[in-house]
Amino acid sequence: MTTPTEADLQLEYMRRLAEKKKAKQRPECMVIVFGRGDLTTLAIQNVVAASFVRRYPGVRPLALLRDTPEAGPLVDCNPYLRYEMRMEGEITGLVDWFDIGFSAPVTCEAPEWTKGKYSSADIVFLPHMLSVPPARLDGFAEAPGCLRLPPSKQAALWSELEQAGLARDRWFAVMQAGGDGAAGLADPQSYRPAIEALLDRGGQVVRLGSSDEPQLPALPGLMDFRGAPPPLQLAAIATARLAIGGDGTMVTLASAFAVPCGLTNSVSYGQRVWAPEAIVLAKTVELADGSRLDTPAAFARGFLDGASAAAVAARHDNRPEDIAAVTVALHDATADCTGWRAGLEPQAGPAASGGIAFPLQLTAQPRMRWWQAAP
Amino acid sequence: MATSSQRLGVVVFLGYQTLGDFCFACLTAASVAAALGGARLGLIYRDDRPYKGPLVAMTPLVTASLALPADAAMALPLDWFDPNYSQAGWPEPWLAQGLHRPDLFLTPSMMWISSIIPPIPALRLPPAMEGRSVEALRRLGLDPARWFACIHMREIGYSHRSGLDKDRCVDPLSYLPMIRDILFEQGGQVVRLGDPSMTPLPHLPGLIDISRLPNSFVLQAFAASRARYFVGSDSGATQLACAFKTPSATTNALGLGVWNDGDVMLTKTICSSGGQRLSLADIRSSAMMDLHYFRLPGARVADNTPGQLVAVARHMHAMTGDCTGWRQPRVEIELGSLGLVDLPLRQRGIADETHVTWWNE
Repeated sequence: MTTPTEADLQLEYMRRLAEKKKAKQRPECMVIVFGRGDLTTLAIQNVVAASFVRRYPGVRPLALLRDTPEAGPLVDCNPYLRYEMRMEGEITGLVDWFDIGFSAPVTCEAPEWTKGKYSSADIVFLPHMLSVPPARLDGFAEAPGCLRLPPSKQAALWSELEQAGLARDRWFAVMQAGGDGAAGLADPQSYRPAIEALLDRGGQVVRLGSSDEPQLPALPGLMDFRGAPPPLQLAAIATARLAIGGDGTMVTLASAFAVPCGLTNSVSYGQRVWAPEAIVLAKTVELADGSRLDTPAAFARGFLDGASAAAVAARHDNRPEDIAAVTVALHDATADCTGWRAGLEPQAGPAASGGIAFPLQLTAQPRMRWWQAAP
Repeated sequence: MATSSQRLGVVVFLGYQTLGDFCFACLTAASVAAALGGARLGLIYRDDRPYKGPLVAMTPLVTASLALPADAAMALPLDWFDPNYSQAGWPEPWLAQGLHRPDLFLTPSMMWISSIIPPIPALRLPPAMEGRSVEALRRLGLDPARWFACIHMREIGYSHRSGLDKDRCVDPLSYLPMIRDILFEQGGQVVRLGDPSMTPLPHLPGLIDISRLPNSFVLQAFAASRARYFVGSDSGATQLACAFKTPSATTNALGLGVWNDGDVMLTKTICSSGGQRLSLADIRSSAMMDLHYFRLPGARVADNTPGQLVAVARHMHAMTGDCTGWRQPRVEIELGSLGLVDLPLRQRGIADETHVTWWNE
């Protein structure tokens, strides 16, 4: 056996380097650009990004974001984003930062960027590329991205929840009696039977949402957190046993924190719920011929995905008893949660076998439960 | 996000400065658009080299382009792609095509030639560029009735790369026997490409040196596209010719700068730091040519001999017997039907997947 020469060793090194490059089929370095937008938009961008990160153990994800009151706290809650650059100005980043030429005219000298070699990212997610309905994103259900309260802040936030009146030894639900915008409007009074059902079962109820919505009668165990500081509202959502609400931000955030959700009085679902245990009770769709479609039928005909909106003559609010029935079903399905919900640890995998297919693929069959209201 | 019935939108940032790298990125971008069945393709580049704008115009399937000013103070924020940011800065074609919200955003590190999705597309000159160039070459003395070869020899004085990567440079006078062979034995004409810093060549009948012409990139590209064959050194001009699918030979090579079937690769002689001369088998199996920017640490190189260069040119002449005049441009591009692409793009070993002739020493 002959001893390899220095040249042999050098050639072998290069051979292996080349083979490694050719064998690379999975992303090793991702840049995730978060955009401006409301909490719904940012929550979805976060969970979709998290979903891709968890499918690639060992990937180096870098979050690029502006440090705004909306974006910053949500990214704090994203356990999958290990590296981040928070920009204080108006600009999130520059296209030139990806220039890898020998004489790039503009480069990013931030240590986070240069050490991680993010100019050579394998994938760059722009904000709108992450703004897809998670329920319909192929592979999301198998590897959902979930947020959690930052471990370093959870104890303090829970303490604030207690100070705000929540009993530490009892579970609670969060509720938004209505939704965002005109389409999601509903009579808050229609949620009263649902609230009473939860209180009867030993829970507490935290009302969230807009302060403009009408007051509900005071009930023991019902707390009104509307107008509370956003971090406290976020902590309540993340810690709840379940969430019941209309077509609004609260339900999206609860879904992002993996809190089982009942989406009621909805006209769509794509931005709100995606977990298989979620329940959707849409507003009843009335067509021009007077026929009415319940939730499963409305979904099957695309009316919950924005299709054929012109064919809809009216959408009728859910009946109080149907909202209550959804609430009880969700309560029964969450029997394993008897106190305050602790956030999920970040989970790796299931590992993807190859790269990420673009454009991102959507499935026609989201896996939530479409509620069949009693006749 | 595009639905299945819509053409997808792909935006590529061509963040390279050198000619060869920029060519690679343009072709890879076109290959992605082609693989997606003819996606809308938007190219973004910084307009800091005279060849970038023309190359973008020569790239097939491009539906929009955005030239950033050469002034580094002017930069494109990523925020422009944010739906919740102002759209005011986007040119109208980008908005009309939805390219401000692309389905796919590709950056330079994703766009290396080994990432190209086969079949490898070709550049093509827009008709306006062609017409002007035909006349210009005629005025310079090139006979339109006879074939010509294009040549390029890398030297150290190019202003944007001055003093860099000396190992890839050559002595242009070592190519003189080859030039004479093309002119007087093969019966052709020779057009020399390059830049004004290059060593003057002796006056020879049939040798047209356009390297010294200012602002002549389009003319040089046209010549490269219409040559019967091209012999170059390890430099961007060789990749330019190859990008037009002009039969090309890269000589004095340290990287694999050609990729079309039948192209020729003649490497420099490479000795390891211990003085051991590497065989062709060593060089090929090490894949160092695919890696391009990676060099054997401490290696020393020696140039090809004039005799080797003559032999390569004769091979190219023999191989291109079907081209007896100015080469006709290629215009076809093959569209795929993938509908989607996986990122990262798969790195293919160009040397493994094409039939390049490795010149036997």
